Amino acid sequence: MERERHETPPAVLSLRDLTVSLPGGAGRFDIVRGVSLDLRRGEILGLVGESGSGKSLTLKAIMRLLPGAMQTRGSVIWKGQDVLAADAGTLRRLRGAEMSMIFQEPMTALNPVLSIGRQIDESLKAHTALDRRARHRRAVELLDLVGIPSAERRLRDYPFRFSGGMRQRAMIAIALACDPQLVLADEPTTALDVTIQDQILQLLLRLRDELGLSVIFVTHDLGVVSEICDRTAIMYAGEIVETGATRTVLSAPLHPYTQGLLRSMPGAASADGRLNAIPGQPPQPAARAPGCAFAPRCAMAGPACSVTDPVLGPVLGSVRAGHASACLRATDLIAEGGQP
Amino acid sequence: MPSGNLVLRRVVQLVPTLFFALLLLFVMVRLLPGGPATAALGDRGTDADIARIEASYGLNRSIAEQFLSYLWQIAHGDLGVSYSLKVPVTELVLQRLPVTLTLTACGSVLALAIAVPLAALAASRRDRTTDLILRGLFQLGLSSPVFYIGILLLTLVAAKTGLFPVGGYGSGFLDNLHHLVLPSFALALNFAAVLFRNLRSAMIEAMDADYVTFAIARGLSPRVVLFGHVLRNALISTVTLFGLNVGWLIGGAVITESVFAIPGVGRLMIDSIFARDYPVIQGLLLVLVLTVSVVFLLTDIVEGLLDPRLNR
Repeated sequence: MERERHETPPAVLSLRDLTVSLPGGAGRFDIVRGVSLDLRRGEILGLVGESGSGKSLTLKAIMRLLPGAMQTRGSVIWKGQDVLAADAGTLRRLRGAEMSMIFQEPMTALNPVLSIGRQIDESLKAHTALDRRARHRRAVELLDLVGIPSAERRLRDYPFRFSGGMRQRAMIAIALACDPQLVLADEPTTALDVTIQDQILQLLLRLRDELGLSVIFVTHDLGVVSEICDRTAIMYAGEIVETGATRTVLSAPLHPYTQGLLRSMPGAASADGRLNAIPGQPPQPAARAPGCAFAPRCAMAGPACSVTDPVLGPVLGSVRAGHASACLRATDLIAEGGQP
Repeated sequence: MPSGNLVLRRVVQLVPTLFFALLLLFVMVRLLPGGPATAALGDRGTDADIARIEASYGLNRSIAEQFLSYLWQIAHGDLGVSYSLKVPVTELVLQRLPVTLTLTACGSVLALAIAVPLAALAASRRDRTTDLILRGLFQLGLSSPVFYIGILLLTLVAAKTGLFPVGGYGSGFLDNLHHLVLPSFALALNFAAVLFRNLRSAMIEAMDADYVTFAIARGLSPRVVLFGHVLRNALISTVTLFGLNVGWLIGGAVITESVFAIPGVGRLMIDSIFARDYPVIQGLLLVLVLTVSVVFLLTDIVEGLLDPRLNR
């Protein structure tokens, strides 16, 4: 344990008890519930969950991009500074210059009526003192960096002139314009076809190595996670239910939900060739029953599960450091071999 | 960039547009009951007198024949001679039209000057007090007819304060503008309300767009986000709306002219219709159709500048 602590560099980003709530009916209800995460320099952390699990909201909350009606509590510590407490000016200096976001659909995330060059240029203008020619040189350099051919000419083109993959590369170039160290990627490959998806993942891996980026990668695709994420956090109904090294989480999951996700992957179809979907629906945030949020859908749930809300923590008997699960029956899962 | 190609294409398209507009108004003018002779002579005119006068205008020929000879005339840049005023229509148009166009232009500029900043303000204060007050005021502006606003301005501003003339056009450029302040305002208010509503909702839509979230996530200043992204994109639909409504605005200008006794085409048009002065009516309408077409072309060019997707 002691050696482990020496080897791992300190976290650059720490979320502590991050909670996002929305006003509704009788009061406020939480759509992200007490998320705590650490991200280290040069690390790619996968944030996995189904639609509505709160993974994109968590990402947006880190950069304070949520609409005013949503309230955020807890803390987001970036290099010792609490982003949630930062004033508007500080926030603007952080956004783009230190942390950046990549969106799922470049067609809507890029301004359709401004050229790619112009969109890179305005980022550079906002955060650097470079003159026009230096900014142009930097823009060419950026398109080269993300692998867009004939960069000089492409800078003048508008987003609609790019193919889907090239457009995503252009968005990454814009997001990286001012050398941010943290990249929040919100399903950046979901809208792309598989071969292009793989190219973008390779690009992100290369950029991480070349630029030392720290990345939170939101996705619902466990295949993508196994390809690029060092560590993985599984989200369900606004909470993190399991986290650990990607290999550990995917090979020896200690939460029934993670097991269900793995079983429902197309590659893991059962003997009769049918997909194993997890039965039931996630709970509505406004109508949460006490106890574990996954209990109503869980085959292993015991009487205690619908009473006590389990806390994310290390599992007694697990040999893998940093592996944590929020399941009352996690120890039983180890006994069963932890295999899906 | 919009190319010279677009301009050329639109100028070529203008020919059939003008032809059909001309055909339509040529026939419609002649569908009005009575004719120039009946209008001039009234009850005293005998059938023989009427027939003689109409023959002198060439109105005894078939309508097709009349139309062809009118086209021939137009092709030579001649709009004919007024029946009642006995002066060339070209002269009348050149004298009256600039007044109406100046009023329309002042009204449009004023409408934009009112609508754009206030829409930006309302959209960025969405559903807060400022927004609600502005929406209420413009709703009022939207439901007040041009002539009513005109009369209010005359009685409440011009007559009470004496800062602005109660009517007429004056002489000299600055004096003209001084005379146009209240009429432009009367004309602009309605139009400003239409533009305000459109731009406000287009801006709110843009504010929810991913590219605006991306712009904020890049740390751009609120000013760049509002003007460079939100307003920049929302203006495209407003420019379209602006162009579509210019014809309607010229109609409003004609009404405003009669409220403020401005010697534009409005008064002339009404007099000519009562006198069944076919050449004047045709000439005025033709020039107005041409003006509206040119404005459409200009709007297309501006849209092309604002939205590169239109030029692919």
